[in-house]
Amino acid sequence: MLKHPAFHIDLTTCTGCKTCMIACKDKNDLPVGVKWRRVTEYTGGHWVSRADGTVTQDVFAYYLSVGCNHCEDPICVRNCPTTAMHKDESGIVLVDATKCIGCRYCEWACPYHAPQFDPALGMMTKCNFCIDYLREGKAPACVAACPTRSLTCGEAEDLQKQWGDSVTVAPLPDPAITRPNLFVTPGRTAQPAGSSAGRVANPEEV
Amino acid sequence: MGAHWPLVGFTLLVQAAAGLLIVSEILAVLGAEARMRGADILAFLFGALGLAVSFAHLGMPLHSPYALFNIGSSWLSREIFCTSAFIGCLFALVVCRRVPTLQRLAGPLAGLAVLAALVDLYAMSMVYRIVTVPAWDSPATLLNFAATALLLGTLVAALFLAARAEAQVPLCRVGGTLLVLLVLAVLARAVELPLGLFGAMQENARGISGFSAVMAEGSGLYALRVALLVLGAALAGWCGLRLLRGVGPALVALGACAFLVVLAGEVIGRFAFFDMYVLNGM
Repeated sequence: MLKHPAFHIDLTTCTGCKTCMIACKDKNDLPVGVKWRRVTEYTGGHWVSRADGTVTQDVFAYYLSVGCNHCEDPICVRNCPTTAMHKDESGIVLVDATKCIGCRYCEWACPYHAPQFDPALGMMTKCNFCIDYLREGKAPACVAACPTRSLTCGEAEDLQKQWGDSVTVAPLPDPAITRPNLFVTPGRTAQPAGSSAGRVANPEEV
Repeated sequence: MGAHWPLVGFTLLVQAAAGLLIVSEILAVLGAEARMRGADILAFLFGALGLAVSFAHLGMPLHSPYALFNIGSSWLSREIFCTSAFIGCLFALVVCRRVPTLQRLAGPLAGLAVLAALVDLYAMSMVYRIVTVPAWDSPATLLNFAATALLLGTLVAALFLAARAEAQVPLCRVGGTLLVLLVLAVLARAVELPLGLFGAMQENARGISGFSAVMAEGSGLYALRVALLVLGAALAGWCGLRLLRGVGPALVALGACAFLVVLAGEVIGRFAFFDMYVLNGM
């Protein structure tokens, strides 16, 4: 069992295939509309005039697979009125179903949209890092399913040694808000955090 | 738009209760105590109904006692505590004023209830000061809630004043105070409306802002909300000026119309406030 689990996404290799999303939904039997992991497509670009009078383009598109980042300072835990949203001893953010009132205040606040309301249960649900798999020494379903191995997980300290300090790219929010346990390796076209150069191109999917 | 109706009902009713209590206690201190009799009961009914309506927002109402477990860090938990304390104080005030042996406690309790109302208004606004929701994370939110409390409280208190013409009160002082409070409420709203829209301009990565979300629901509806406020406040102001010269039965009916017009504007405005929810994030 990992002591301080974190995710890593490599934008240089992620193809946006969404296998991680489907594996998560399948493993956790999530109903329609409840998505613990979402793959955001971020796109932008323009026509660019060149000195010789011709035009070219600088279009870009890349994918961000994001679930719960089990943040160091989770805004959902801070805001939850019941303490149902809590961090366990290894830092995994979990929902205590015996306390949750389904007020959705955590969902309002989380910049990653990690807490998801399940109308059938009347309460919040979210990524639990496949804690049952972790206890068996297995990788979470999303990580195990990734065909390009773009999505990995491990001890936060080891990921930092392997990949260096995380880089925040658009449209990820300011990491100072929650201090996410998420390491990102940006791709060639990644836009800096806060950039308005692109737009989320698949809002209906995420 | 309709998904937020329990929160619209809860916030408006509790803010109306707070406003009515504060204004009626001010008027009572100024000598209109006889005409304000019963205002505390109505404020309690508003507050209790608001609290009851809020349960419709919860997916699991049976777990609601747990909502007081995180007062240390959650403004929602603090809001629920403050609202419960405010309504508890109101209930105690209503009882003390009507039980002869407890009447000596009514004065301190009224002060405590007013203080609880003010703290509750602040706590309610802080619930929406979420760093990831730019449209709400603005001083306009507190101003919005305070304006609602003052507007609705002033208009309902004015109805009490107009409806009990038989009780003698220093009409100039009391009516003048009501008019000043009404002007203050309208000014607060006049500052809050542009301030709130300005704070809602920031677009997220989906290209949506609180402003665009509200306009998507209908800019005409938003204009109607402003028109209702102006019309209702103007009618209430005219009634207030007439009140200073004496009270007629038509004045009460007109005052009630002014209240309903302003209330309709406040309901639309509160739905617009919740429509402005746009997450600054993924």
